[in-house]
Amino acid sequence: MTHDLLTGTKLRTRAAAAIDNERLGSVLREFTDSINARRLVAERDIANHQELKDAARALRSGMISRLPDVLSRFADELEARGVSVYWATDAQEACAYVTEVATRSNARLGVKSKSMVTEEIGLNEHLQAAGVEVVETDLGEYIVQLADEMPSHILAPAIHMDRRDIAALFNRISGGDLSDVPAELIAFARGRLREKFLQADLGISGCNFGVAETGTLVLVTNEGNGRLVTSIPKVHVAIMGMERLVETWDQLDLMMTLLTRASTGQDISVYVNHLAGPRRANEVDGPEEMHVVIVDNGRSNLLATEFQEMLNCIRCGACINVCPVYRHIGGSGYGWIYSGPMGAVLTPLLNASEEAGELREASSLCGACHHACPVGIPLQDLLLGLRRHRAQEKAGRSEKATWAAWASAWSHPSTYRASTKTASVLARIVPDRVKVPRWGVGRDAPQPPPGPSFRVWLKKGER
Amino acid sequence: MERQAFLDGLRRSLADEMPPNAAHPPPAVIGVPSIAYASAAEGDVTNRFQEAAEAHGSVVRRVSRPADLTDLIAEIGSTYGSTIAVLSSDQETEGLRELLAERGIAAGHYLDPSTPATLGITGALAGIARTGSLVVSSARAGSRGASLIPPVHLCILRASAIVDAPSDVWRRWDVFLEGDPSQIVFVTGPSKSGDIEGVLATGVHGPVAVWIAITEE
Amino acid sequence: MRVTLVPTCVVDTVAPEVGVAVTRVLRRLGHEVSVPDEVTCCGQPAWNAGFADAAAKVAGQTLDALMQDDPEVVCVPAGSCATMMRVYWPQLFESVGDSPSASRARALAERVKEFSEFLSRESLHGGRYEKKVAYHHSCHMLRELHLEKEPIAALRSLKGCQVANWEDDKRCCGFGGLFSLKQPEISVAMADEKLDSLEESEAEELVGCDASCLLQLEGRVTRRGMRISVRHLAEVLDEAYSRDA
Repeated sequence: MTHDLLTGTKLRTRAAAAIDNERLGSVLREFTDSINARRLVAERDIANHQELKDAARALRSGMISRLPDVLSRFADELEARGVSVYWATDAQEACAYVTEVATRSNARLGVKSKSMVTEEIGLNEHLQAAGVEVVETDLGEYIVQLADEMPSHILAPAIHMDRRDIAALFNRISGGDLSDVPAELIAFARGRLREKFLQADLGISGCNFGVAETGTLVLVTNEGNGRLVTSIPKVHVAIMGMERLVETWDQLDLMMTLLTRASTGQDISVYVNHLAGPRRANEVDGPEEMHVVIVDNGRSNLLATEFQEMLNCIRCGACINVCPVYRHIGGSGYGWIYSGPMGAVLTPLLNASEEAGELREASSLCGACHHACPVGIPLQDLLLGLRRHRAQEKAGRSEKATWAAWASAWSHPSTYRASTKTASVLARIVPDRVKVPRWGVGRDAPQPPPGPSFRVWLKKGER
Repeated sequence: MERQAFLDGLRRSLADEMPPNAAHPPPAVIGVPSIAYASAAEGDVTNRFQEAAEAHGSVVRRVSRPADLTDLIAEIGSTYGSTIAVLSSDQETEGLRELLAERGIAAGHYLDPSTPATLGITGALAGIARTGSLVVSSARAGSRGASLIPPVHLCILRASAIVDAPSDVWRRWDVFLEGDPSQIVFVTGPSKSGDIEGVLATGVHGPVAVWIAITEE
Repeated sequence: MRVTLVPTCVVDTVAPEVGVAVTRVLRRLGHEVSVPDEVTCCGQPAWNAGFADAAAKVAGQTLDALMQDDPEVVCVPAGSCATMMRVYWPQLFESVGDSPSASRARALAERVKEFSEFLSRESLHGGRYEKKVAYHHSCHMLRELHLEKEPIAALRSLKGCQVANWEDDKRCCGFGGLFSLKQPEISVAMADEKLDSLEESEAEELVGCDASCLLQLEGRVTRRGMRISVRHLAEVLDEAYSRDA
């Protein structure tokens, strides 16, 4: 399925549809609560966790400020180890390069492990158009690919489907008769996908971190598909957002310690795969060719702006799991591949559309995200920044005029008092339904008690 | 785009000064702190490794004689219904082929991913006690697939190769990049997924079981 | 001492009883309460909507009024307003190019105390409040000001007052300023999650330190026909102390 941003839809409409789906809501809340609880337990195991988070924030920001040099070092090290490096300014360039690699090696089938950036650039569609079949191998991604649906959470893309849905889906494609027991469904997927791994000419992966010091790619997985994708096919292409680097192995240790705990509450993922190049002479397997595609795709627009810290994101999902908005509207509420607070910030920064921009409103600014983020990104401040940008660049004259009038009235004590008195009187006499229509969606309006305002009471000298 | 143009573009973007965030300013931090664990590392590192590995779903046995190892391999065979074994080139598997032949268990070298082998036997560069992880190097093993393709992975781990924490591997990377491997993998238990209803299940794409034989060496 | 009180715009519009209660409690503790006429609003509504110039204009008025009052302490009976003043004012003024105001805001910040924070430095005696109450931790107070035990301690200082175990006490109520109007469905769903487990907690009353959160929750409580009263911490203390008199 295409992962193009859902256009022509409004946040309110998408949200209302999700909220109406009671089963979806309870699944989202149960899942995020459980994964969040595990995060808290895992983080308590680190005695200096706050110190590590502070260091991570500083180091990620420092690295970004040195990004050109760090990328340069990274690329030099990769090339010295026989890896081809491609510099993609945008989605089009990245997809074109991967397609060219596929064509040159006569690839008919590609297997892919999970990579958000590949969804961002629409790689699958591009390859498919060039005659290369691409199979998602991460179990959740495999499921949503078969179902042709949008992933609902960056860690658990198929969480919105239950075992019955998945059994029905698998039975549809195989003509089979699977029960809905998860172990049976997994065995089925294992068998189907093992065939694909063995037949594939091309392996496509993402990259959690690139270690610039030695030109090493680090992939964090639990299922093993990341290892299979990067070990069996003759050609391996890794796609990487240009900001996903650490300068040294010491920094990797720090980031990995934080990542797995923040993400799934694990002390370490089942597999941490460190890739240093194509197969060596004394190795019997491994890709013959390895490519790394370094992707900009709008990230450079954030440099030296108040949004630069968004590049520090390590895609752990901790913010999504604590977000009080996400838990009610799910991935479909955000309309793109990135959801929750990081999605609300990143989507408008990478997409210029109205629909993308609207996501700055998908937040009550509660700050739970900032608190949970292992690299301390003040996401709520970035949302405020997005709102300021919009107010300056896009707000209509009447909206600006309303705020200007409000500011005029409320920056003078006499007009402030007069308007608050009016509001208070109105609150008492105007019928509920008329008062503030949107407030009335689900709530009764406030009923101030009869009597003087607070300031008048104070002046009267009553006790 | 060409590398130089790409990087020059970034340099131009970074030339401006980033507006400060006065509400939540970044902390001034120098360097990378060490990882301090809340639970003290008490007791023998081999025991701690075993405990952590078992907690992550691995089966762990102590092995003192070569016969123990072949017994273990026979046990694995009867547990899973068959033993078609392949060996990696790790030094820990040296001589194992002959020992197994004496037991009537055929074991070849791991050569390619379409192997019908049900058991892949490797050694490990190191073990990590805090997480119960194995560190497998493709240079030492001579392949990536021996610990990945067959559904059961048996790792022969020397007790002397067990270190305390992941930091002891990651921060001493020059040691572990010895032999110029194309890949080093940390393996912590059998493969897992929570993608179906958020319920944890094992045996997805990687091995369904990990057995670890700790030798006294 | 003389306590300079910022009523907040919510109190000035629809919740005068909270201002009254705060004043009475502060006086009972032996303090003089000063509310400068020139203090209006902290500017948060416009700041949250992205209109920094409008916010700075209004906040500037309040900042000037406070500086003129030369306060020993500025007491704010709302976590979100106290956060605006202490955490966001410097950034607000910098963003509109008013460095002098930003400096003055930074200097004032350490004197700004949220109401329960102020109380935590006092010796609280007496007061009877025989009710089981559930306390709502408002987001800014909890995460920006790090005030969690202070309001609970104030409640527990009252004889007979039980603080219920409430599973969702720290979740956002869904107000978020204009969010409550721009995304009403999400806002109400967020309130409902809290109120569903509030019923399970068997609390008779819902207490909080932010009148805006209480507006949101009370609005939904009333619409749902729930039999639970909603009050600001100051109102609870005021009533509790009045029983002693």
